[in-house]
Amino acid sequence: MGDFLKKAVVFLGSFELAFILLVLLGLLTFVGTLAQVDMSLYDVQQTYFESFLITDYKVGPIPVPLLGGYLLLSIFFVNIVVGGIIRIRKGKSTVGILISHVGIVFLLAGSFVEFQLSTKGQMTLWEPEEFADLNGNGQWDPGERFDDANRNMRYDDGESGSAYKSTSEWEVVVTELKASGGAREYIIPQDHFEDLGEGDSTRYTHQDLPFDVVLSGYALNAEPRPARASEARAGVGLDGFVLLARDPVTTNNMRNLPGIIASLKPTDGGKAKSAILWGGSMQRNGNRIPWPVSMGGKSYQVDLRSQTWDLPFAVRLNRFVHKRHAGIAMAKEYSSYVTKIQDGQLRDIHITMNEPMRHQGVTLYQTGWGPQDQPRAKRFWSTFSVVENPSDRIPMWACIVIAIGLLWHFLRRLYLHLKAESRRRTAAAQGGSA
Amino acid sequence: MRRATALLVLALAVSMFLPACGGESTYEFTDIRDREKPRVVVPPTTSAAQRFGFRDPRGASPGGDPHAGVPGMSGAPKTVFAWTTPEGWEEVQGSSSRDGSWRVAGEPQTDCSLSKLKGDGGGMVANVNRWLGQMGVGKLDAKGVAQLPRLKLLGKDAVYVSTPGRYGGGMGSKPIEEARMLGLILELPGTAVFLKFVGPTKVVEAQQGNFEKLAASIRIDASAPTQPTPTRQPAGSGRPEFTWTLPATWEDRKGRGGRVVTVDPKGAKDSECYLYLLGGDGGGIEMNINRWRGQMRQSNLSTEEIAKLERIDALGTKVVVLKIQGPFSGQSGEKIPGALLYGAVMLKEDYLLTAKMQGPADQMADEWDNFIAFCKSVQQK
Repeated sequence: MGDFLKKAVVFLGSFELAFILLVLLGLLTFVGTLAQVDMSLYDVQQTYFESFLITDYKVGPIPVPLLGGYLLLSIFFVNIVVGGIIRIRKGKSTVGILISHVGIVFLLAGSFVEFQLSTKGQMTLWEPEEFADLNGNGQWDPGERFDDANRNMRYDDGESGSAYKSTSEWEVVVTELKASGGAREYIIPQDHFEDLGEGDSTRYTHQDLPFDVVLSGYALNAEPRPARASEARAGVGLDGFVLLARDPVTTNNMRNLPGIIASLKPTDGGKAKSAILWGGSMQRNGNRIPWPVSMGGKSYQVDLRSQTWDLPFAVRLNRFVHKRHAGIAMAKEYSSYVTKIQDGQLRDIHITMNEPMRHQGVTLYQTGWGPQDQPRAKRFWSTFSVVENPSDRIPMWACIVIAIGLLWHFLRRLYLHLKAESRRRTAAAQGGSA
Repeated sequence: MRRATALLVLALAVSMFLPACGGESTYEFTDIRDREKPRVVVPPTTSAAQRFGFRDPRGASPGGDPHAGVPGMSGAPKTVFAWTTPEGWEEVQGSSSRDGSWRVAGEPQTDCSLSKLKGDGGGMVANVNRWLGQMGVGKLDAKGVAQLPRLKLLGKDAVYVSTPGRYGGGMGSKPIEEARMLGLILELPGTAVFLKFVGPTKVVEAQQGNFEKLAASIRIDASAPTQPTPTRQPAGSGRPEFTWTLPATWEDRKGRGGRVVTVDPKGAKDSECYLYLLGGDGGGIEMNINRWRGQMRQSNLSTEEIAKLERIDALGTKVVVLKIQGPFSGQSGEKIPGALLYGAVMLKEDYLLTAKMQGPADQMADEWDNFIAFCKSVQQK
């Protein structure tokens, strides 16, 4: 048994395993890249790179199971820790290699933290129409704030954004409307209900709620339609509607509008209330339309919405700028002049394609804009990818560590080579003179 | 050892298949967030149809579509009406082109329908004569139509058609030999609204009072959503523009952003008033009022309470106006401890215009009449 373990550890830390893993990772990257022809980037990431096993990959009619990126990188992490740090021969000649391996481990650990803890979404903001033309030149200039003509450093309600939404993940939220005007949200993330099969349900409880929330019948892409007379007679449907599951759109995940059945079951054994929740329940202005329900003398709203996170600050879009190179359609600059609002303090920031805004662990990247079919529109909107990642600087530091290790190693090798060469020349010179 | 391993593998295999057998798992809520105010508030009466962007589904109608074959119906604006069904009447399902359908309970030959057409629906004279034709009655000219009585519908004078005759029947409904038709036609900018009641003469005459009660109760349901669209609509060239008259003691400020206009009382440093334009229904009257109340640290008003608020005539419609007193707290942290907020919500077919004035209570106290005068003066160009 001890011999087996020893052999297993040797194999886990071996060059052979590292080679196999790197080949498989290369193959996975190739296959995953080709898959983007038929799948959205989100689906490719989920299927190929954030999975343990890929069971439905086929070469022609033949199914070929593949190891997913998550599993390959996990094994690679063990391989480099065992072989590249623990079992590596320690000495002056391997100091650089060791440092590089530590950097790689650091990089993989950072990826793990990002995968587990980061949140990613988007926030779209619209330009206001007019601005405080402080220098009176008739055009907007950086530093001229919007809706602040009297320079009172004040913004009005609804004119800035402080939340961002996932473009692919959904959540069921039960909002308790409090008499004080406040609200409490009870949230169930998508990964708790996305695998519900036919006949499955999940129940969520909380001591402050007078009911349990039971979810069932989830469909990734769904559409409610009025129940037909025959269905209504058979008691099928809720509130005159049935939830019709549709084939998920794999080429653009953002087009999927999920649906689910939510039942609120009073904890005192009273009559349950049920409703269809649908991702498309929203007004033209984008406001959600949740299911309003009263229970236990309190008012609640239940909704299936895009996963939503609050920022620790608000952002106001002052101006979106898009410039093209003269005479051609190629973009010269896409950028947004924004104002960060936090604790009554305003700070102007310019977000460009290569210069995101970073603040309190949150990064806002310039991602999109519109309306692109109206180049002379009065107002433009700007979309930011928002990433909240506790390890967002780890790749940079890991690369620095790896670079230091490799530099150390190669400089040392260069030094030894030059030294050996010098000795050889000296020896040759001495031999020649003798 | 081998036996134990085999059992473990078996247990794992069984556990993997368990979820496929159906069942219910129980979890405790762990992600709980307290907020100063809800992200959105919808009326408690919001129906599934409204949430899904449909009109309320209703049962079958005997009368068919009163405007079958009339061009323009399919493109009618998606205004959603609300009403109070008269006692002794029942709502039934009409065709998808109807906005409401009723009949007198126990009188299957009666049919009452509410519908609208984009534009003028063909013109008042044509519409009146179309109805008269359905009753086998001779046509009226423009002068004759102008002499028809009027009755309030949606707060405006609608042409009131009342005629006996032989009802030829609609789609799928039988003719009625001794029939009477009561109908209202209202022309609004961009829309024509029709309320028609037909049935056996005796029944219709007995129910005329209820028909007029129904007409008086019909209103635009400001809380109803329009067809859901996942993305925001860009502000385009169709944006409405407005004119207004400033009270003598007010002045216009230049260079205001995000607003139609910003004005304020002369010399009042901390008070301001502005018009704000929102597309679609702009979240509705209730949401906007309760948003303002939230800013003033006041609890939300119910639909019933909002229905009792004062109304003024502005922009060709009834506009809700209100005063809110309390500590003002804006989104960006600005605060006015003893503040007064005046608000007006003007809901039109394609947009919602709000007028909002806020400031310290002592500066605002004498501005209510000016605010109302300003709101009344607003007109769409």
